[in-house]
Amino acid sequence: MKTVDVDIGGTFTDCYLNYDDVVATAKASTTTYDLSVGFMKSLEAAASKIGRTLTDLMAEIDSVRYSTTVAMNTLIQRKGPRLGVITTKGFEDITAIGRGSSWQDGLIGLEKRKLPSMSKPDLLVDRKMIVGVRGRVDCFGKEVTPLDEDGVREQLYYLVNQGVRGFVVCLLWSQLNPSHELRIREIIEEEYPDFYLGGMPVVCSHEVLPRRGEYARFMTAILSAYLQQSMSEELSNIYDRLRDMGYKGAFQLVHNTGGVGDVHSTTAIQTYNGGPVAGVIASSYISKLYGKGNAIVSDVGGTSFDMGLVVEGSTRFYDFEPVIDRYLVGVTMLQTRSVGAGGGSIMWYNEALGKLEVGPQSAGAYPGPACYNQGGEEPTSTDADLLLGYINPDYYHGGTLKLSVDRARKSFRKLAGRLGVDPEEVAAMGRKILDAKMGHEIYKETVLRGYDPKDFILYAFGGGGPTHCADYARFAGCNDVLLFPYSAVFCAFGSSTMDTIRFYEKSQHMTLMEPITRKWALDVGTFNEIVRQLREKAIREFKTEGARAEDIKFELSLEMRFGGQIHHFRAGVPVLFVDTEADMDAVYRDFVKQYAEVFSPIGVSPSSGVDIEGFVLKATVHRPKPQFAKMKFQGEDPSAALVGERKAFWEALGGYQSTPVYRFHLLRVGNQILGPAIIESESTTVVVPPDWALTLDEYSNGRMKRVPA
Amino acid sequence: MAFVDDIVESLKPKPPTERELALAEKVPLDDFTIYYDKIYMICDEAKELFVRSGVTTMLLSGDLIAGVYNAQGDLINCVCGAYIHAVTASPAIKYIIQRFKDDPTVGVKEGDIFFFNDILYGSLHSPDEAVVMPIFWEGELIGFAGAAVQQTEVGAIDPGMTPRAKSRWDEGLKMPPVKIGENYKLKTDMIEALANMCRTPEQHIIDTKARTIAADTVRRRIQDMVKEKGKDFVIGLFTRILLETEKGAREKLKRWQDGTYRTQIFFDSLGYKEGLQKFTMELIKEGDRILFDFTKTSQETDGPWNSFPHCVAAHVCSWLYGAVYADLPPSSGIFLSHDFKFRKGSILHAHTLASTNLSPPGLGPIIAATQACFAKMLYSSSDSEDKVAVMAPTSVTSGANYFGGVNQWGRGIGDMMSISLNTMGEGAKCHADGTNAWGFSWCPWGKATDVEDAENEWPWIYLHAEHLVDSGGFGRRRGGAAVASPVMVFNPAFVALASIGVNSKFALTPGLFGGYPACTLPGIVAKETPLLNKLTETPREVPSTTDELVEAINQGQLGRVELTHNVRWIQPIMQGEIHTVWSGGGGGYGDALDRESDLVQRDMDHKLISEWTAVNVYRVVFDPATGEIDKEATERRRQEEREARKKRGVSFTEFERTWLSRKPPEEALEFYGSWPDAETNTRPIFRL
Repeated sequence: MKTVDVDIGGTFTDCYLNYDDVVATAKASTTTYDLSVGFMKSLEAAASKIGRTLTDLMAEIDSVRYSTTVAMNTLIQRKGPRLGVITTKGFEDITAIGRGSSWQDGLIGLEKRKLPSMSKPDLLVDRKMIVGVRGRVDCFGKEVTPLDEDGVREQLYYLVNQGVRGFVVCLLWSQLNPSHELRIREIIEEEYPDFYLGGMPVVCSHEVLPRRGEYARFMTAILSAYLQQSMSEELSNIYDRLRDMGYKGAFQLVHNTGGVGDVHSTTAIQTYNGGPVAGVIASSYISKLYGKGNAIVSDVGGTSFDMGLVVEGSTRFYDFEPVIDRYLVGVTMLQTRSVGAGGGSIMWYNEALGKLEVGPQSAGAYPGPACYNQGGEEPTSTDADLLLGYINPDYYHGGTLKLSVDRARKSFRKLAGRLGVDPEEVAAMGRKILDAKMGHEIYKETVLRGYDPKDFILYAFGGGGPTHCADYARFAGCNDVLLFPYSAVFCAFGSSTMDTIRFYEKSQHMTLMEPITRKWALDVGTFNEIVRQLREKAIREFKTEGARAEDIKFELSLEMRFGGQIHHFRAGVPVLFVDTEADMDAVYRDFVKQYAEVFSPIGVSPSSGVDIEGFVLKATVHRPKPQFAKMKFQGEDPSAALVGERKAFWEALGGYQSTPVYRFHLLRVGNQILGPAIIESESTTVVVPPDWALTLDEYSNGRMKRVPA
Repeated sequence: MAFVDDIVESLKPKPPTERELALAEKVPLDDFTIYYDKIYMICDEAKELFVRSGVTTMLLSGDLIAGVYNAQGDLINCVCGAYIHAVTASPAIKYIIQRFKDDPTVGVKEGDIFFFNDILYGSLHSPDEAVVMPIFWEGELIGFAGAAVQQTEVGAIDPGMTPRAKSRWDEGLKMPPVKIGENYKLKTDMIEALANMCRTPEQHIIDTKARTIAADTVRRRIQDMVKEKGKDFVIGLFTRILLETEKGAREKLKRWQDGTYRTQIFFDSLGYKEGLQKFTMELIKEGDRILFDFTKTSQETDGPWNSFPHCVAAHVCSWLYGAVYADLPPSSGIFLSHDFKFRKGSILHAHTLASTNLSPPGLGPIIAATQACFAKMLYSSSDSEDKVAVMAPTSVTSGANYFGGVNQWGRGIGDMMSISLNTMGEGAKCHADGTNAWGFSWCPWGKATDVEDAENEWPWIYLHAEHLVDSGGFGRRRGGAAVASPVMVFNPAFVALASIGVNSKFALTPGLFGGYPACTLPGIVAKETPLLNKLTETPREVPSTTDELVEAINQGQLGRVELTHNVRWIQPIMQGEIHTVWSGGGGGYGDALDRESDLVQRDMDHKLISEWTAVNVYRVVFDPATGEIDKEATERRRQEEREARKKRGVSFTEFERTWLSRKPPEEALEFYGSWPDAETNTRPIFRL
């Protein structure tokens, strides 16, 4: 197999090339003005590493997969098409109301505390372009008021006169009864055929997200329509350039569900956060190599720190109302957490509180850290790492980017002066604070899911992960770390390990268990019919990509709640169809078990009855994945990889100490390095503190463990 | 023993001991940052577990706190929710220490779990229930963990909060601090006893456990920190946070302009009937201290809006912690530079037998006055960093609507609507319009439910959910719009509904610097309506906007309409009948004549203001040919209005004479106190 996987991050675009099991990795700067430029540069760099030209390589490649966090963020800033939204009359302000405090969506922790500084995200569709039509459905899906078709035509005429380039139809309860939304689409097609509209989309909310909760459903539909054209142009640009070079295979995108899909069957929203999600999937794949272990996934990039969890080899945690940019949507997305901490995080003094702070502001890719000598003047985490002797100024990115120690030191002078210490001391304090921030975040997110970090191996990747992992692992309460030779392009590697996964959803209120009497009350016929419809839809869609029905694995989750609760809980259930009371009991027991695990057993309240509010069918088709062979033990002595020594700062040793420096690619399986030590590779630097030891394991990964004093 | 007389003073931390000071000195700079942030993260974790574990609407909306207190009961940090709960837990903890620590029949021991909800000891009103747990290490008490949230139903004479409570005996469950658990275990008898006093006992049990989970999470994590860093470090860290908060606040205060800043707000309800009351805040700033003087505030009443000083301080703090000191930890250190002055017998310092059932919504004027006084001071100060808080008050119309009955699925229900609470308009800022449908002033980080979620669980359909036209105060910068979300009872035969929204007769949320106040909001119930038939037969006659609703009422098309104050007792609303629901708008900022014409046009396009307002308030002129605003003609008309104002102007003496001659009728002033200053009580109250 010859495959290419590219991940576009905030600072760098990473490429993972697998050429018949010969792996080459490369990085290029992310080019936000045109993402395809960075994309092609990273590809070109990887090709050159195996002695191929880009054109030669592309003619041979079987598959190109692509993940990105940046694409959608970038595109949201741009002017999308002029859309008209048709909604239920009286509810035209729903997206502007945004369940009240939508100003906090997309902000975390202290970012949202200063109330007068908050503002809601800009509306993607001007209020003048949102019109209401009469027609109403109730919570049973029953039509209360017929659709006012004359009113629909009047409003269409108004919108077209305003110059709309596409329609989004968002009606209350359309997920239960879509007849009004579908009829509006028919009317649009009757009144304004395709050729008149120039092929602009008519997006119905029930098709994009057939789930209860109008705000998230409407926003999902609007964002999909808004981004469809611009995302399509962006992707076409990259695809065209690949095809111009002779590439004949499919162009696949990483979905935030944790799978990949063909570009032609991918919605814009499914691509959001693809990079971090790919990192979690890669970790899941690797954890299975190590016996289905638990992994904390940590990725330190230039601007952000992302984390996720793998439990017993499985990626079981999802977000159901994630925020894209500042917009809350309703798609099912593999859960990752992101905080503003990375190589570009700026160190500053909080005068109001007498605190030294790191981030969340970042120097970004440009001007970048002061040591890049690109105009940055604020001290950053990377400047601290350089000043403390961890990073080699002449071997950063394999020596392609020369760093200035003087500029790094100069960037700390003002802050050091304010605190009355020398620049190196501030750098050490700042680094420690950053590591604590990341470590404490890991701890919180892990325990919130009911696990103890000490039962996990921490996977550290991204350009800064190996440089900081020992310290943030300590703050997280984790003593076992795994590092990878392709650490800096780990998310790109991740997409090479992904299956095709899709979710099919439908909201429907049903009673599983009656209150008080606790009798089973499920309408089995309706239940099974809904599952059957979802399954048939999945089979139809997968067939268009060449998959057979028998290749699809189905798993059912139900959105359930105890009677009286407003919010529901999504629980995986052990059956697809329900025929007997034993099946119902199995569904109930799994719900209670998972509910108690995530919340608390004391919240279990069967006497209130149990309702089902929605169905979620997960469909998976497995794809071939890269294989890792175990390598032979070649001895503990790492001296063949020793390339020199330099002074580096170790708090536990009281300051700067002469420290051995190794090259990662020269290490052999079984080599063991006791801290303090520094291990350099082209794309990252591994920092091994005094109380840690690193061993290169049989997969050529670095296993770093804390050594008891 | 009523603790309430000294309660506001107990908010202030005592000076640190020599040991505490020495330990605070020893906390290194990097560890201070790391473990300061860690405390925040601990509270955040506890808050998330709290929300996940509970069941009632206010809890699920996030109207809660999880906090850390030191061994003296001073607040160190918390995550919200609603800061008001964090502040008022502190006096209760101090009561526990003072009253029980050395009492062998009670004691304060490792693993104890305390509960309280009585306002006389540190709650805000009986629905606000809290759990606190002492944190011990090697036998030494090093702090407390707390978790608090409003319980929707606590067994008062009506479900939920009640406007007809006349004394504390009408309010249901009232517990002073009491031990409900030992050895880290809740006592079943106590949990069931508390639940036994409520209409929804199962909900009460689940939510009490949720509070305990949150408090215990804080307790465990702080103990983990002690294990890692040592007891002395944690005590030093707590002390240093208080000291840095005090220092940070004083530094800010020094930068702000000395002076006396005054705001008066009028309140138009006694709960069980209409009546006028005056709230006066004088913010006296001198050097690095502030005194909040509330002595010129109306007398207590025999209704449910009465309150106590610690509740007032908590409401002041909701703005201090959320805005002007938002870069400092929300700790008790703030109180060392802030003092409070009250008049005993006023509505803010009522008799201990008074009903305080609606104390928090009754203290909306305190939040608004705090915003207005600080805005005036910061406007006069040269510190540009804090100018972001120069803004008109955000809506403080409570917008609470309670209900009880049976839903369309045959389930018993009893709760509070969330949409009207969490969509209040923000006050206009000096640099921008207020945010429309901004949130809930008491709990800014809460969220409204979706219309579909509400209709799925509760037995009505919403006629509409829209920005209410002309609801945000007019001005150079417009106050954020309110939301109108009237409901029509739909599926069952009836549901019982109540509203406690004040602001029907007298505008409660003021404007600033010439900005208009937010609009008043009436109570409307339409009975015996023909709407059920019209939905299917003549849907165009079903009102889908507030304008259409008003027009239908005026045309007599909505049956028997009851136009009342928006404080309405619980009453059955039958199938097909309408109960109006509003949040409030934010105050306006600056002169409406200075508003850019383009923004007036945009507000009209977005249906935020009416054409009438554009013409008569903003004084714009429309081009008859295009229908667009004619900018030049508008400027001429505005100039004419400015000249006309000058002609209408009178001296202050003349203004005062006229104002005093317009004394409201005596029946409206029954509990106002002395007219016009409200400085003395005029009406004795007998409570049985």
